[in-house]
Amino acid sequence: MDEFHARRLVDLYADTILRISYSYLKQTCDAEDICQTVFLKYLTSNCTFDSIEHEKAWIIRTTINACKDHLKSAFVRRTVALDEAEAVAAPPVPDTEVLDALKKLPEQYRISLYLFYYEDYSAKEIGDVMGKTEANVTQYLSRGRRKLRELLEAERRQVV
Amino acid sequence: MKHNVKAELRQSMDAIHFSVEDKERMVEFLLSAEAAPKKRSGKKLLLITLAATLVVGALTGAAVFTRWSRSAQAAYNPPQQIKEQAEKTGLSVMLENKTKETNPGEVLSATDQGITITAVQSIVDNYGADLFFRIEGFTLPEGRAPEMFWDRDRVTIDGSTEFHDSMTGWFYDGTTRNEAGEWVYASNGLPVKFGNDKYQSAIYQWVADDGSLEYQMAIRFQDNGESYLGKEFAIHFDGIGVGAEKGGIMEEPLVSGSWDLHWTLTGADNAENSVTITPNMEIGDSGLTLLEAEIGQKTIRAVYQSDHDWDGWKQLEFLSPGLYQIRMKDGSTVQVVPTQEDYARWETERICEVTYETFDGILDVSQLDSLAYDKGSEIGADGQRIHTFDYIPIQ
Repeated sequence: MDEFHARRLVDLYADTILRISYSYLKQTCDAEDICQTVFLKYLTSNCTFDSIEHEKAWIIRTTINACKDHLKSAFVRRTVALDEAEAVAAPPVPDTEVLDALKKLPEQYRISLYLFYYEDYSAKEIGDVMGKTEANVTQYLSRGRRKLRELLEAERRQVV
Repeated sequence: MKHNVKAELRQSMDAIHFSVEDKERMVEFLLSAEAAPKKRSGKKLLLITLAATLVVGALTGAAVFTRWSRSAQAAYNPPQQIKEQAEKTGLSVMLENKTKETNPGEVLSATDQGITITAVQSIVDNYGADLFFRIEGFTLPEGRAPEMFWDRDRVTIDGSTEFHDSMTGWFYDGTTRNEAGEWVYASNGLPVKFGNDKYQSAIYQWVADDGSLEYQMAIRFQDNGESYLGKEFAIHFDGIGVGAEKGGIMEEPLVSGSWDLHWTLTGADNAENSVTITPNMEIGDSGLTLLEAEIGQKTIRAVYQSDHDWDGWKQLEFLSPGLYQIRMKDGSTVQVVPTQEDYARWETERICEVTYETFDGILDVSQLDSLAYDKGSEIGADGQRIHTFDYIPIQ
């Protein structure tokens, strides 16, 4: 891969991968690892993309799968060694009510809301990247919105 | 005060991004990636993978559609096809068939004081868990009802006791309802007998032919959007004994001991094993509109809106008309009972959310026909009560 295409990939998708990782994992510490995993798969895959939308959907789907793999490995992990010399700071996350509330939702609701509200994906498109039916996603969005609203209202009532 | 969640979410997410230095590092990584083996910045992980999985669902491998626990069989009377579906979707798991080789770390049976408690079966969805245990080696005194002793603080999911809205247990009494609705013994279909004591108590069949007893726990999860599937369920039993005698006060542990069981709670994800409808249809001419309903194999959730004020719920009256049963495409029906009514949005929107459970069957969600709401009943010529219904189609 030449530098032009490497920069294109990073500029277009690195932050998207970061935000999806955050939505899934509720932290950004492992986002760079997730990003490298996704980019490596991009390099080694044989996929050809019809359009930039097609490419982006592939990136999002691969990121979600990488996050799931990451969670599984964390669950069964027995020994972890930190390479202190290469430790990097995690990208900062703003301290906002909506992100706090988002973190309290189940992961499928979080991802659906992120893709719907931030990436402007339709329920069908979200279903395609998550491997769920449109009906499932509609349910996730409906319940996620309701829960998010309840959490935000509860938080704001306490502040008042 | 209205809040624009979309705008707030966009603004918050916009603030999450890699720094210029992070992105430069990634570009270098991509340029070097093809020439070098995989190289990661950050943590090095040494993993030991297990066969365990976080994903909910049925056990992998050859599914064995076995005999269900006595209490589940009596409660749901499922035909073989429903059993197969329930096991394929993961709603039902025959815990006693799990092996240590495929599920190391789980403890599904414990023995103390000569008594063995075994987790036999679980029927679990997003909303609750029904767990069935077999007790062997306990001699029940004649004429007494068995009782199990456990502490709520010793029942956990992933170490937390804060997962349930309700949790209760009872022993299987050997009785069921036949197709005519009569109360009979499950073992032989004969009518339940009553004793000659002053209370004319029913005579139950607590003990199976093999001398074992069966205990069922019904747990209803908190409605907080959290999923408990894939998490570790643990329970500590500390005694087995008898319930209070009629006119008596206290149940009595006859055998005290320590039985600890724990396993990964798996079940059917309602998002994948249910039908959701948004009919926005008035039920008959009741003034109550069904806005949406999720019909799962065992749990139904419905959202209603009324066109008029009603405060009967404050006196613990049930919302009317009530969902009575689910009609299937072949004309058969499965009755449901409401287990929870949520009136949090009643004052502002006249909206009520109701949770129901099936109590005499498990649903095949591919064969749903309609929701049947009770219009009332009368005694027919044959002396049987006849209900009439308003129907909402499930499409």
